[in-house]
Amino acid sequence: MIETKKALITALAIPILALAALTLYKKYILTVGTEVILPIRGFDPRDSLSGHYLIYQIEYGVDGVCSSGYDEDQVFVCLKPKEFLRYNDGECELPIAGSCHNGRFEAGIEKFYVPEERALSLEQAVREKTGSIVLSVTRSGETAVKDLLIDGRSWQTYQPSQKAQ
Amino acid sequence: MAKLDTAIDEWVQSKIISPEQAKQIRDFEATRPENAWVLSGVFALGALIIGIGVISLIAANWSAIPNIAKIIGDFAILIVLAGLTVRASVHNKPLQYEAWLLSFLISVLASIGLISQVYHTGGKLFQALLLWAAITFVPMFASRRFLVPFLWTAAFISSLAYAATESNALEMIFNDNYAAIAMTLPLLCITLAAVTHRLSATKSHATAAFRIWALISGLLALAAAELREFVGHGLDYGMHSYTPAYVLMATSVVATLLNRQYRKLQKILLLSAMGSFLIPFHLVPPHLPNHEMNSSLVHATLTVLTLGATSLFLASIKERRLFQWFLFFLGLRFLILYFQAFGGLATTGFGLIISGSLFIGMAVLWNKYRNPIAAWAERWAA
Repeated sequence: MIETKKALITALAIPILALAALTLYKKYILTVGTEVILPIRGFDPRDSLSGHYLIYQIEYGVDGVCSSGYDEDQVFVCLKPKEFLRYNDGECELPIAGSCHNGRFEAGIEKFYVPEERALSLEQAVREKTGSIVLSVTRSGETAVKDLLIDGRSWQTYQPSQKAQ
Repeated sequence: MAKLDTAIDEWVQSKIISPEQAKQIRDFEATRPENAWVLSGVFALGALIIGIGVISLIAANWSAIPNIAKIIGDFAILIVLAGLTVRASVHNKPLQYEAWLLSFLISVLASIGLISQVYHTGGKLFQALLLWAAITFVPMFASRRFLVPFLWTAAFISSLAYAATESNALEMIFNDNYAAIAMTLPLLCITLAAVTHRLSATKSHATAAFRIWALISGLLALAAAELREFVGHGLDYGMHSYTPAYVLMATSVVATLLNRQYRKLQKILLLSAMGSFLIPFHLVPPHLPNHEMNSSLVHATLTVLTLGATSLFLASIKERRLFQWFLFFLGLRFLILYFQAFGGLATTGFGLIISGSLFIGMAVLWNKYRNPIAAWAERWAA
């Protein structure tokens, strides 16, 4: 089906360009979005780790999130003013777009990649409810994770012994 | 090559070909070293190892490397692999071409993993696989062999099946009705095969891969339809969960009827196979006395009809090896039917002797008559 050199180059360029667009889109959200810090807690109190990923729930501080129990696509947690929305009518200043799945709000920001040697100590910190997540939120509700904070400091500078001291 | 040498010697002795022709055949085969399956296997393995190596690099802990360097390095790898693919194509190195193309496609999947890691995207595995399938759909057609489209289709339909149970949008359609999902996938493959067949001027490996996966997923769906938990529960999920399958069935029927390569009898066989494939997903005759037993027998009969019509169709299009596989599955279904009907007897000593004899007898019959049956079916449906 793809016979000529030009067609082959075009075909191979498609995934590269698509991945470049995805990367730039993520970078764009991080650059233009409003920075928000929200507390997190371990998704499962016994095990918040999945491979190299910390899995957590974000405490939005908004009542009635996904309370209907139905699975819903394209719903919003509005951080300013604090309310749960099924439609973004433009009046919310800080909306986080996501979906309701099994009664939980999922916005694709519930995982944080951590290096293996730091994973256990960071998991412990998140379990002790000292963790928070730095998000970048655009006006239309796209969100990207900027950083993980432990005791208000970036996870990269966090040392487990600091807590004991 | 040893097999070919023996065959050539026999042909020369039987005066089917002359010694000069034998020499020409040997010379021709000797100049095609890249066709050796061992070499193909080594190249494929090499490509897979490269891909796994790339994935391992991403999975490994390289926190010391800045994110931007990771991203730039990843795109550099992708561009180099794409360049090597183009180079192998220009220099007419078919095996290298396939190996680089496969490495490139695996690296695209690895890149999605890397971007997900760097930007902490909390997506699910099926989302990553579906994204990969979407952006590699066009490059998959650049393959000049069967392996790449075969692997692509495997990843695509398995991620679609996963998505059907996990994504909100597809869950609303399928309503966790696994039978409807199983029924939809082979029909999707048939539709994709029909579309790619119509669009490609020459023989397409993508079409062949879609056809093979239509057969594999069709067999799995038949098994799923016969399993107890699916039988009788399909209608409880609501008919809307079957809508995608019926839409795809309609397109498959239209594509079959419009196919100019198939003769009338071949079209009848294919449509019969598709028809008898659909019925077991709905058919539960509760009004019949002893309906559980009747239901099993009706399902078994429909499975036999589907396998029989499919195998005859495969024979008619000269797919002898696939025909033989389906003949084997047909025999297997008959054996299962025997155990269904005489399950109690099979636990006795006498029953075990009969069962063992049946197994051996079917194996002997299959081995002895598979080629004559294939030849007969080819003549009958031609």
